[in-house]
Amino acid sequence: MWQTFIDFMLNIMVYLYQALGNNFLLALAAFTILTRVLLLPLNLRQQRSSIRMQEMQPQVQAIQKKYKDDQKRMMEEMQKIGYNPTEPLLGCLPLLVQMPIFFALFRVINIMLLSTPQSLLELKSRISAGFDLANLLPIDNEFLWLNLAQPDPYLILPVLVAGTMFLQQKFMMPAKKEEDKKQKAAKEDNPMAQTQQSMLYTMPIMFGFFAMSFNSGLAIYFVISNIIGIGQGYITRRSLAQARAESEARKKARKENAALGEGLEDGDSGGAQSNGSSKPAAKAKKQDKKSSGQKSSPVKSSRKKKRR
Amino acid sequence: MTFDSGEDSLLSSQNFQPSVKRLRWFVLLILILFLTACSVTGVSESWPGITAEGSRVYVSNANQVVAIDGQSGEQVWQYNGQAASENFYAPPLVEDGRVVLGDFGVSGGIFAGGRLLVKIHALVDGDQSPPQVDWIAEDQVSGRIFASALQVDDRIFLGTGDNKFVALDAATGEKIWEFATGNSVWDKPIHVDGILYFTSLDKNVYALAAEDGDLVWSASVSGASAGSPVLNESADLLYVGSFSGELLALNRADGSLAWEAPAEDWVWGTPLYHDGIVYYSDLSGNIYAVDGESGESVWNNSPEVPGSVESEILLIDDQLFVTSGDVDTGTGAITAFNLEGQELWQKDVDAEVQPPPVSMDGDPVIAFVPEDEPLQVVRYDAENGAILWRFTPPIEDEE
Repeated sequence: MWQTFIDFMLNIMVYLYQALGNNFLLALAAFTILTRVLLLPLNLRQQRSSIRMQEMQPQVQAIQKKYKDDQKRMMEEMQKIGYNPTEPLLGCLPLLVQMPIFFALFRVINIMLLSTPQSLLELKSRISAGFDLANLLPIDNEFLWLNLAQPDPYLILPVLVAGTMFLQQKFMMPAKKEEDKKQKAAKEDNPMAQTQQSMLYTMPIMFGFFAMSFNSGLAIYFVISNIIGIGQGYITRRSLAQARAESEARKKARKENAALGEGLEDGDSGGAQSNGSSKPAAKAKKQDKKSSGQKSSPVKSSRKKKRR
Repeated sequence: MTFDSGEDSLLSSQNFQPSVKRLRWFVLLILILFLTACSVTGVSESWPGITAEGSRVYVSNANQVVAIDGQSGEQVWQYNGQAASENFYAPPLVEDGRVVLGDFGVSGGIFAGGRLLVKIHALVDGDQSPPQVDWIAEDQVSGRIFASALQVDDRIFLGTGDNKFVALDAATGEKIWEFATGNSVWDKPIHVDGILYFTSLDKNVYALAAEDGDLVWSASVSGASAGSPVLNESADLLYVGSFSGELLALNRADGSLAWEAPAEDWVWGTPLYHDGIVYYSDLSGNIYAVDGESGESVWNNSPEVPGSVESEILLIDDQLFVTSGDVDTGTGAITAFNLEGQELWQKDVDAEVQPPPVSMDGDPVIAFVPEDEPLQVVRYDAENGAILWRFTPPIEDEE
């Protein structure tokens, strides 16, 4: 099964190499883009959910504080606001799905770049008979100062891997200006946010460190993939921000309309009352609701807001 | 998605947040393990290198270089490199009481700026095990070494996996000059009248001045080459096997093509020239014999061996010995032919045999590594293929 997967990827890479003028780097770039496109739905879903979960943190924190002695109730309340505790775990999913791809890619690069005589024999026996391998050889293993089958001797690629991965992760989080004080405060005493914060730094450092011993080809895959991830993160963030702004605008318009409607109602029933007097009236309504036994929790109100 | 309200549930318990945290660290740990696996360079990725000189057979494989007594099949010495991760696949060069070979390189990691650290080891070929180290050349080459070296006077010449061909001082291992090729060099050069001739995967055959590494000529050929060129002195021709499925005859003076002889598949192994005839093989297991001057076929039918042939054909007296291996079955064979191409005997081996056979007192000796088993070196009787001795390296005690 694993061998079949490697053979499949190997044939795609050889095809891309042939189709793109025997340029290994172009083939690698095309392959990375192809992989990212295939994983796009999963990545987008994960990214949206990650941003949404982080935005919910103040509410989650409030619930956790309020119901710290009643686990069952805490879970119910979280469910009510649409917080799904399994979703943060999904954050690992795109990475896990990508893992077999880059382990296989590691093998494919080693086989294709003919780092050993054994790998050339392997390449010959594994690719489809339709490819004229003798004609495709030698597979160009050089790019700028790099031998793509060996690690970057000047450590530029490991730095790029770490840098782009950091940026990509950064774009997976809500924009700083969107974080209000409450969210920041919530972050400080939220272990999950702290973990994410620490992952923001540890993952790029770890990948950068390992990229020192990867073949340059694999490190290039990471850099290209991360750059695409940054672009994708930027677009998702913008579209989410836009959707949020539109929803805010709609809410505002609705509030204004409602206020205007109440003003008119008050005007009709109470004669010449000023607009400012509508607030005590609304308060009185709320008081009535409370006294009639309807509980209004912060959870419910936020849920209502959300639905709007 | 719904919640499991049970108190012991991972997600609904009080421990939910720490569980997420633990899972993330678990994923991180898995990543570290896999990424570490990705960065390992010291895995067995090539086949053994074998040389016979005097009364000894020398074999390099993975992290061992062994010297074996050619008569008894007993180990004389074993060398395990300077570090556990050092691997050797190049056939050892034995000259002036010294065994010289390059290693496969180890990733230097953070402390070496990510570079591949490749060393050339010169060992004193005595009776002491491990042998005394004469010198170790570090930082002289930067690419993995598969090719055997060639010593001419006080210089050692060898090609590397990172597209270089270098000349080293035989006494110290210090680099004298370096020549850049377009791709890897996988076999040793030959030296004729002060000129070195060698092939590369870059589809070129090179002629360099041994003195200073100046290019005399380079000939673009129809395919990549992994073997060494062979000289026909009387016709002043160089024979080169090509992945284009041909044996090429080049004029030694300028590298121009004199003629080409066909094969069914890639010609990987170094051709053999003997008594006016060139013998060569291909990856489909066919053996060919052509006239050294015209390239005309000498045999009516090409004999076949099981699997593919990546090595050169060995001539002992009037017998040809061919090693072969089948990738699909993981088995191989050694086959003996007479000079007319008639099979004399064939012995099956439970592994692919990619290295060439070498001659020890008129008998062929082969090296191979069966799957999940250690290296084996076997000496056969040239007459009938009977096994004279079989060697497996003993496991060294860790001191």
